[in-house]
Amino acid sequence: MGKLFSVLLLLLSVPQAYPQKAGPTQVDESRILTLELAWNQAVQGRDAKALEMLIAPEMVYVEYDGTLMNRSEYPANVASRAWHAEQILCESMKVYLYGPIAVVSGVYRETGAKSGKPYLHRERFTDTWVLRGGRWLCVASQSTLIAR
Amino acid sequence: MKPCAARVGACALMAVAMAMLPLRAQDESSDSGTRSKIFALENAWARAAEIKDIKAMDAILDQAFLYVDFDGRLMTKTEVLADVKSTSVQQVVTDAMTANLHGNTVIVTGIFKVKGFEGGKPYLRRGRFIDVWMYKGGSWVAISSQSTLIGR
Repeated sequence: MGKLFSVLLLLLSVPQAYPQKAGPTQVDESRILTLELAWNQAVQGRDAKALEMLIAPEMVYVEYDGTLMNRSEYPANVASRAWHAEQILCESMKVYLYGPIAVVSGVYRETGAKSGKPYLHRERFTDTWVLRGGRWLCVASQSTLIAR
Repeated sequence: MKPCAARVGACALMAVAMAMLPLRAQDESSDSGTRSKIFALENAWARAAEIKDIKAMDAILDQAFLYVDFDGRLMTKTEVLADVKSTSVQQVVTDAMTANLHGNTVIVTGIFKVKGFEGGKPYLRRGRFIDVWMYKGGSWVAISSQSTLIGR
């Protein structure tokens, strides 16, 4: 996963040049969905550096248990996880574009084992992305466990 | 949902009217002015939820508004308004609100406490929320909101 993922993330992080009259388009939608997938890969690989490339300095993150984290806390939290997520999937993702702002809604599904016990988290998330200097950066992300 | 009217005492409709003032985001005198306005709208939203003021909520929420409730339910604006009509919320209190400005968009983070009745039984919920506001068509509207209960 390592090298290929890093190259993908690097490509996605390169500022995007728009034709003069074109605004954010379907290209942005695809790009943002790919960034969401890159985010999952980074979480699965506990790769703090990759996460830092996806998020803005002022990013706010609310974990499924209500914990609030900032840009330095969130990647460190993922990197220091004592458990390993075996599979991370996102379902029903939809991008709502408002010019240089995008809101992504979806369902995050993570399976793995903690202290030898299998777990499954199914969460609804909302991510907000901002187009800055030709790059999409996440400025807010929140997850809520889906009641069974 | 979140912000408290009880704390601020702002009238829901008055705050909504404020948001309707024909100002452009770039005309706002300062970031702190924008923050004050958004916090007033948060309070108006909470007040509207308490008193079931559907008209006020209709003005606050964008047509394409997306809401994720504390139980993970994804709701549209129509569903949220119907939910407000049918539930019995007694009090909504917010705390620790902060706002990050991104041009014509504001991200608000905070803590909410909601008291109410469900199935005849009282409940108290405490959670964290993130609301996204956008300056559209001459006023600030909420385009998305999510709530997550805080672990005890």
